[in-house]
Amino acid sequence: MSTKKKSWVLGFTLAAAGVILARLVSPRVDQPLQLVFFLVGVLIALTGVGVVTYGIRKGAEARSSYQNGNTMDDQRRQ
Amino acid sequence: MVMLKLFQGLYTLFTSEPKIAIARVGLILLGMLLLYGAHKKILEGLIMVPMGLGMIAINASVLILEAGQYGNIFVAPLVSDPNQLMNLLQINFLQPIYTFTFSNGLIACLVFMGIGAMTDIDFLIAKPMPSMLLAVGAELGSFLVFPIALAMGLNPGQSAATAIIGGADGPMVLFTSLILAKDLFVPIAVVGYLYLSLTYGIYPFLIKWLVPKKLRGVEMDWRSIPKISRGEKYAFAAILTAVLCLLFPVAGPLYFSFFVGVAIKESDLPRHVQFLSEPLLYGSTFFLGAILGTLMNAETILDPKVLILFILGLLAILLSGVGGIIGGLIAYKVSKGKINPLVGLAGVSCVPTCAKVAQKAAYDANKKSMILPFAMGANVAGVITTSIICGIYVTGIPLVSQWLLH
Repeated sequence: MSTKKKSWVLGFTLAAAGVILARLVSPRVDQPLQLVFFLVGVLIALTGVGVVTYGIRKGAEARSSYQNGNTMDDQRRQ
Repeated sequence: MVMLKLFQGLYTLFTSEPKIAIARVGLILLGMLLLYGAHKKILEGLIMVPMGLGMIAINASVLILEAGQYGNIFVAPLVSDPNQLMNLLQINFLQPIYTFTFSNGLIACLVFMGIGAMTDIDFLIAKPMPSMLLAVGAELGSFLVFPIALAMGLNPGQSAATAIIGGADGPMVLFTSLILAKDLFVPIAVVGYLYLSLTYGIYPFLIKWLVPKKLRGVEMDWRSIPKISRGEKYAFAAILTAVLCLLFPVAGPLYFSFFVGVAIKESDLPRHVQFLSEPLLYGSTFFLGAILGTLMNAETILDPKVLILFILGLLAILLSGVGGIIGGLIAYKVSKGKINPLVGLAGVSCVPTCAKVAQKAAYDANKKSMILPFAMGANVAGVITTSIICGIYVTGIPLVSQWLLH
């Protein structure tokens, strides 16, 4: 699997896990922990979005490098 | 006296309480000052012209209504009884716009759709970490003013709505104050927009004081930004909307509005883009200014909390500017001189003003310095960061208040 695809899968999974933690798990725990779970969930979900963004960037870099003369194999070797 | 009653604006001025009369005259003069500032390009004319004229008109045209009460035929923001509201919709000429677009936050969302349709998210996707870190630095005011406002006697909702002025994003200020501080949303929104339009005037001085000329002129290689395809930007907008709406449903309308603009821009629909970024954006901004101006009557301004809001609003906007510059200086050091520190200031999310201010300061220091693409990236990251902070405040404040009550 390419870096781009891996990032999409990992990012999407992280984002979904974060949302589940923040929106589904946190309301079911007691008050002080509720806020902690919510904030940790938000952080994980946003990290997931960051990972997706990383994948998009890597794909774009590979494309622009390819257009500048390097083949995809060269890219992978680098 | 009978003659005077023919001119009810004057009659109500002379027969109302002295402090109300003084406040009315003061607000008429302030309205004129705003008009002057807009004419001289010190203030943002798009919003200050309708706002200033609205302030003059609303404070000059107080008249005697039924049962001898003083009022106006512009707008009545505090009426909630459906029958009374139906009557007022047929009398007050701005009431329909206020009731159907303002009090539910629609106008903020319309402005956001226009901003989204003008926004390019290339740099944000290409350099997400620097963009987001710079944007977080430029939110210093949104974080620090919250505890300061609490210490100055505002309740948590009012403090959060005031602190979000530091995000320098008008629609966000409006949206947060409508949800968290409905009783103070008029002065908070007016103070917010007043200071936002002052960023043109304040931030260039801040740059000159805090960033040496040599660093202001640092050149950046914009060819290093990889080309992101339309499809990738489209997918990114869809995922970010879904995640943010799932996390902060209360701020969902804002996220939807911003990213629907971005998605339409990336869908290659030129007529839709033109509709969102021109008539819709400018029309909404015009009515936003007009309504805000007409809401600034003497009774509103005499609330003792308004002075606190003026101080805290200025503090928030200054702290965010300083935070952005500090973030920019750190980025300059970490990147070993590859990032112009002024890009940090563009992290303050007043789109596109802060990016333009940063580019102008860079150009003044070095005619070859072209930082606008990077500054716009930080600017867009700022919008997203402010909307996340807005979501955290709007969702978290009721949670924390509930927890403290228990």
